[in-house]
Amino acid sequence: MTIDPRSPFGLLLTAICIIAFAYLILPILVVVVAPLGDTGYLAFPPKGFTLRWYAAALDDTRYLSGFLTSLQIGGAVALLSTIIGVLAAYGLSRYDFPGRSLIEALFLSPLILPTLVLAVSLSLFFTRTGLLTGTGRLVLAHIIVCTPYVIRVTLPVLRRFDRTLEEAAQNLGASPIQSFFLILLPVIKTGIIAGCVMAFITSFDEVVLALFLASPGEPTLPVIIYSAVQLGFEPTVAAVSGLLVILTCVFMVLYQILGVARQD
Amino acid sequence: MEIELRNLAKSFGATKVVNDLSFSLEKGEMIALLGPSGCGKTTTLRMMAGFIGPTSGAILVRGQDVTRLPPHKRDSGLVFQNYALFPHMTVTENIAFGLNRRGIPREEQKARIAGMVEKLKLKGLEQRYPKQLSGGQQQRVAVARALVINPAILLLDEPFSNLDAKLRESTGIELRRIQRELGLTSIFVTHDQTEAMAIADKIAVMNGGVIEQLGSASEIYETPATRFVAEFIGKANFLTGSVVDRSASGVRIDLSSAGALVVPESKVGRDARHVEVMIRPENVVLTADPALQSLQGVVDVISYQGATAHAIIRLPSGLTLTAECKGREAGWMSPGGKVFASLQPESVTVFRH
Repeated sequence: MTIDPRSPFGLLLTAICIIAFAYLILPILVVVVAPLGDTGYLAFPPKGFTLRWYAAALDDTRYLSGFLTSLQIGGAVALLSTIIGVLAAYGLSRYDFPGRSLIEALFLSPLILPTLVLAVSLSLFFTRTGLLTGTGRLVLAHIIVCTPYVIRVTLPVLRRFDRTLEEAAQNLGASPIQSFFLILLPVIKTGIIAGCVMAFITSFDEVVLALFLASPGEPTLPVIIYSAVQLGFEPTVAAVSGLLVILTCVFMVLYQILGVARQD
Repeated sequence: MEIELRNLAKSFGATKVVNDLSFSLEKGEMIALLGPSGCGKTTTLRMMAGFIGPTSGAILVRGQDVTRLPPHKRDSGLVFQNYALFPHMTVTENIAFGLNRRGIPREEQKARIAGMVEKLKLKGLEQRYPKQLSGGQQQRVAVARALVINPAILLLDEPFSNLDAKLRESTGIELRRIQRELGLTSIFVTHDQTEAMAIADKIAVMNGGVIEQLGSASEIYETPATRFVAEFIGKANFLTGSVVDRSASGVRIDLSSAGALVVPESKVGRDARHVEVMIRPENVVLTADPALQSLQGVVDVISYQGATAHAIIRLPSGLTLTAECKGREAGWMSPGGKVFASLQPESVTVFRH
């Protein structure tokens, strides 16, 4: 179905689209642009122009170390929850065993469980048992939250996977393990990468679990931003957020360029 | 003996999918497992490849029992119905896959791949990915990938069913030529009798998990062992009757209101009473006047097809008989006209009813 963009309905549709995108994108733009203002407080539209706040954000070692901590945790979480999630999805897609749908539901349940509940119960659990200390606690907590995302993304891909491909590999002399690594994984690669990226992002900007479980000496970036905002909304905090937005954009553009290059 | 299947059987739960299947192949022979869907032909092929373990029986390749070997330790090349080419690999990488698993050195790999590319007319396509190939090209890559490993058996699972009719015939002939050239022992699964008859040395007609008849194409067509075979291969007319007299001159079969027929004794089982007489349409001779052993009927429909014409004759009993004659010899018949259909005793087959 095509709609004539000049018809009344088409115009309305265009207007709604513009408003919806503005609603989604403008706040992000504000965060990037506002710290450019040459005032001691945040104002939009910015008055004057300075890179002072951005410089201050880059200078402040707290933010940098928080960024690195978040990066480390996010990386570890993405890697581990991808491995766990892909293996779980593989089992769920391949084998029919009693309680399969129950286990599938259980794996996906943290998606509906409030993070706060999980945060409280996990901090109680870790305090009582003394199991794990420092960042390990947060990594474990994030894995619980992120693995379901990986399962969600990879399960449909695995269900669509043509199993005769693995049979063909085995017929040609590949052991089941070789056919898993040489055929199955490369074919479902995009699904795995998508799950991995989702896991990373979820971990990277997660606040609630981090507030409860991050080791006090090494707070994550969201925790640092959160506490900074509580103390007073100075332009440096907005600049940090602005930097994250810019970094994300750079990655998106790079991904598109590389992705397009690979398809040719 | 190159390949031997001994009393192979497979049950899924209470269902016997393959039941007491035995046959053997000499080196370079090609057998077609032919039958309707659910006859057990694909299960048999999958047992040969090792994807399904038989419930009982044994598979021997060059005298070695491979029944319990996992798929990757068997020496069989399988061409899948959907080709199952690896989508993330180029044509060359697909063909090289089996060689890599066998640890063949680079130089030899190159030579063998080049040979296959040559043989299967894949020149210029080496660096393409499967989705950039036509169906026929994909099929040839699948064949090349299976052949390059020099398997002891070549297994083909409905390899032509995804090709259009024109390509199917030429591909079949081409495959047969390569198979002969390499002296490959092959098992070929199909539901298409034309394909089976055109390509295979031997045909095993399967039904309900058992082989109904095993023989050359002409054997199963000319002398079908069972009613199922007669019906499945080619077109057939069936007339029910009963044996009324046995004498030195032959066995007399009464076809109730359609008339009677005398057939050689060798064609009728010793104690058969109720029988079914089968005759192929091209063996029904139509004449305007009564002839020896002829049944009287009325022309129902004539369909002219150029080289041949098919006439459907209605017999007094209400049964119909299909006859095939040369197209240019059908002019004298007209729908509703009286006609005599004579059945040559040597061209009928009699089944116990």
